[in-house]
Amino acid sequence: MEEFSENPPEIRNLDELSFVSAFLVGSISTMTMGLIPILNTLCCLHYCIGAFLTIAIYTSSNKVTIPVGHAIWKSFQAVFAGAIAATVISGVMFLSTHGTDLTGFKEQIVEEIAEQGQGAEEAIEFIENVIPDELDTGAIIVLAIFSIFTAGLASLFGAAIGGSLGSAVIKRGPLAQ
Amino acid sequence: MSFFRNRRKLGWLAFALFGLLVAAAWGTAFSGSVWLHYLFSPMCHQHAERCFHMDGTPWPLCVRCIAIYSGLAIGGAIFGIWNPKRDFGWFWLCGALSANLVDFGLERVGAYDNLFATRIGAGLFLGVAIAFFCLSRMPSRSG
Repeated sequence: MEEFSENPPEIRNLDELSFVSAFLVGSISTMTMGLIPILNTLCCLHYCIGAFLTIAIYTSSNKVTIPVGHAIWKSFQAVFAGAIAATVISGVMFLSTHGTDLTGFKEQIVEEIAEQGQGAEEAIEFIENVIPDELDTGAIIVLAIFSIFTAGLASLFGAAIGGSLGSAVIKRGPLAQ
Repeated sequence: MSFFRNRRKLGWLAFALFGLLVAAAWGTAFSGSVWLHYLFSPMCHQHAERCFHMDGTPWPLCVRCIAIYSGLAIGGAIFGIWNPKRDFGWFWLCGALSANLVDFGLERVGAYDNLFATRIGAGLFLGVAIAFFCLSRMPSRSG
């Protein structure tokens, strides 16, 4: 008769898993990559990498395997926080560089868009008509809300891809319920 | 949360989510709204010469992004219908990533310039490969 020498693996509760370190790593990495000029032009890759890292740390630190829905939700929280932080830092850096006078900035953007050729006229018209010459408090609030919304949208799709990949690749123990 | 443990349903969810994204990109180009165009700005570089155009208006996502998201939607739908029992491992995912890296590299060294066909092919391959990889390796295999 053989005896079982090992205890069966404990099934962990999803609500009891520690998320702090994974959240910090995921959000800080997303924020950092979002501020690096070359990386943040590679489509939503930095959101996907941030989401993947979140799940990598989450499953490794808790030694569990997690369901894909939970992975997407947790990675979304971290990536969204990182994206918001990157947006805030970018905004503060922009204001400290350009100030509230946008005349020079508009000219620079129009020149860049004009080089793109097809479809540029409408974008130039939009910039000249919609972006004010001087930023006031109302414009800053509208831009902040719009930026948060766009960051949320990008975070959702980045988390769906990166979180799913993390859940599929990294399995560190029994499936948490 | 049992919905998220059913591979077939999750495949259809991926189809809906990414299909909606591609449809929204098409709708944005169709409407010509610049505000909607900027809504997609965190998701793509939006260089006009690398985008499809509709009546002179560029799509808000580049060709490769559109192909990847379409691939994810198509892969999800195929999984929703077929629900294969085999595990699609690293082979296809690494192959798709390599195809995109080779395409990117060849363009950088000047072998060709801004070729939509290779971007669409490599992007679709990557999208389908990611969808199959994730769905086939889901921890729960019910459904």
